[in-house]
Amino acid sequence: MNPFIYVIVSILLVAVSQMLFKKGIEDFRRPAEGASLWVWARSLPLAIIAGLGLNGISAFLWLLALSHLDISYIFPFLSMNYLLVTLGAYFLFKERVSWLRVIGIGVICLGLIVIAAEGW
Amino acid sequence: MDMSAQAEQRKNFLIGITYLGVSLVLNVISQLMLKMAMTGLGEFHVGDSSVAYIFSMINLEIIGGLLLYGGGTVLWLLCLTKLDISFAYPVSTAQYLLIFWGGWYFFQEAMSAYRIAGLAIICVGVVIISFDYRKQ
Repeated sequence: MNPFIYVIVSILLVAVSQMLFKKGIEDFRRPAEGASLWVWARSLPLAIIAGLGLNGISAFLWLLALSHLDISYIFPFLSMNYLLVTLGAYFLFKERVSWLRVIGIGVICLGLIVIAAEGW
Repeated sequence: MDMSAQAEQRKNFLIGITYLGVSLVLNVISQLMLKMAMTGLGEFHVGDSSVAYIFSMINLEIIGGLLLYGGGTVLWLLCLTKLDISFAYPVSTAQYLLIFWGGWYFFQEAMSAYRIAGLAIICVGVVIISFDYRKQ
């Protein structure tokens, strides 16, 4: 199996967890002043807990990726997060996305293609 | 703007830039620590399902690296409460350059033209995005 899969899935999971955090924080209702830690934990929306879990899986896959590949090769791919989070913001949360942002993301993707081209 | 507001703004900037700097350094150290640990453990695939390997991942370098990463994330969020994103984003690209240098220095990774060119282009992209956050 191509270990680059770990890089891609790890980054995808981070982006999904960002969407879950956004959803979760919108649903979050702050407990009353002086509430116990247990009440605080219980008031956390499921989406936030799921997001934290996905972050854990993502970290594990990132470690596997590091066991196979150069860090100077895979680290820049974390900037794919700009693309993924913007796609999520636009399609799931109907946020406005400026042309400047689209151009910036296009430039980042171009940079990633150049780095990936090393392996072709 | 009166004197006290100016002093306040200056203080916020200094605190923010300290958070930002420490956050970047923590991120870089944690990634290099994790890389070092995983290089020591050797290549591993999900399908290998070796319990011994998974247990060997529970070591000081990896747990320490993950904790530093968590600390870096918290400081990044704190720095964003003090600084404009349009300032913090471009500065944060320094971690790409530091990791690139670390890969070469500590792990003898190739400084290929592809990586150098790609990294430079990515930094330009992040700077473009940061203009999106400029206060009108």
